[in-house]
Amino acid sequence: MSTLEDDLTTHLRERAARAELRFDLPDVRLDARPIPRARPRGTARARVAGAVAAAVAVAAVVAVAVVVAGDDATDVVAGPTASEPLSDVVELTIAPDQQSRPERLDAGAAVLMAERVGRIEVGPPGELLLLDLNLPSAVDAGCVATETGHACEFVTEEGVVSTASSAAGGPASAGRLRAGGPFAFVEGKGATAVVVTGLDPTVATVEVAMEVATYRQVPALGTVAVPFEPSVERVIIRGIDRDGQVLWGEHLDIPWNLPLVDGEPPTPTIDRPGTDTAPTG
Amino acid sequence: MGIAPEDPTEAGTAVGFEELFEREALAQVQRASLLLGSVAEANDVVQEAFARLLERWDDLDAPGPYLNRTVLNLCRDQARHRGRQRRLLGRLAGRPDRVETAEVLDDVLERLPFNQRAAVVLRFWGGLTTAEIAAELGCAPGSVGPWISRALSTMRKELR
Repeated sequence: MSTLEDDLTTHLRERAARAELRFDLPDVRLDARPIPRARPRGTARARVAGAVAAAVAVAAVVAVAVVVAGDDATDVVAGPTASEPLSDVVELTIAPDQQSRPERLDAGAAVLMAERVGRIEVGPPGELLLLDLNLPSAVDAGCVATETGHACEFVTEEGVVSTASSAAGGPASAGRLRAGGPFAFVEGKGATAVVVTGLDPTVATVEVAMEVATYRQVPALGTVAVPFEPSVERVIIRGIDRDGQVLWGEHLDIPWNLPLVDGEPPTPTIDRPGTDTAPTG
Repeated sequence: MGIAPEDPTEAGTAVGFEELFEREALAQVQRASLLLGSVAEANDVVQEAFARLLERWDDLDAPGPYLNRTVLNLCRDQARHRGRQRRLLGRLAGRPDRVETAEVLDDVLERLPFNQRAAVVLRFWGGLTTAEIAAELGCAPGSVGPWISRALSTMRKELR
């Protein structure tokens, strides 16, 4: 065997030895299952369809907002209109079978799906289209930037309906992702969603209320993003287990509409049940 | 060599999906990483291939070859896509005065036509015979030798 062939064999063996497996059998099983179609519940369904259609007309389709760092870098996917009753407009559903998908994105995107969006394209900021997530039955979608920063486009059969991008570093490293006990949330001026991450596996449902007791329930599977009206200053979030028991509850006073302090939004506070007000972060 | 993905011919009922996964997953990722030059892309491709395999598991008589072929086809598609990107980017001007053999091999492997690259990987990493390579790639055995020869010739030129 010639030197080149020796070198080539050695080189290929060394390269192959460095390749590691980054997924497991459960990931494959999840991928192989059909994506469940998120549907509005009960009698609200027709109203939801109408509301969604109207939302499309004004390019405010996507139900989940993406919050990114920076006052100017709002880059928020349009959420439901403030005048719509949230519980009817958005039946936000994270497709359980997609839980492995975010792990497959190098950019670390967490993809939440409901209805309308047929495809999500994810890539670094400025370089979309690196990866397609074909979601033929999805309807709404969101994309949450994490560590490396990336951009997303949400595409329906009619074309791109919304885009979102995050600066390199994403909200976490930009200091906008604040730990809050059993969860963390992303906050920022101009944001229109609470993004709850790091949920304990015992949390089956996250309920979010906008100042009044109009809880909306979303399945809690790792990360949820809940849109709300920009004018809301207090959000109540509760974690519910599979038996319906409230595991924890938080009141988030969100300084969305407050002036910036040194270019940054003021730190929100969380009123923990049974404790004094404690700062987050 | 014993490290290349196996080529099981068992019927779908003779080997369980879990068993096949345990036996094949890492080797498939290793092979795909050599074909694509990216561990991340290799993992994506192989995960997708296993998902497709699982979806069709009950209908397949020979899941191993199906898996091998699916991974190769997905790698080919991916390579084709990247080829377009590379053409758009153009060649970077100039090369350093001194480059390591490994760097050159990586560079040349990446630029080789997919069939040449696959033949080289299957021969020098997988240890497959010409007939086995032809079966894997779905081509005539007579094509394999010239592909490997051309690939080696390109590498020799680059290494001079």
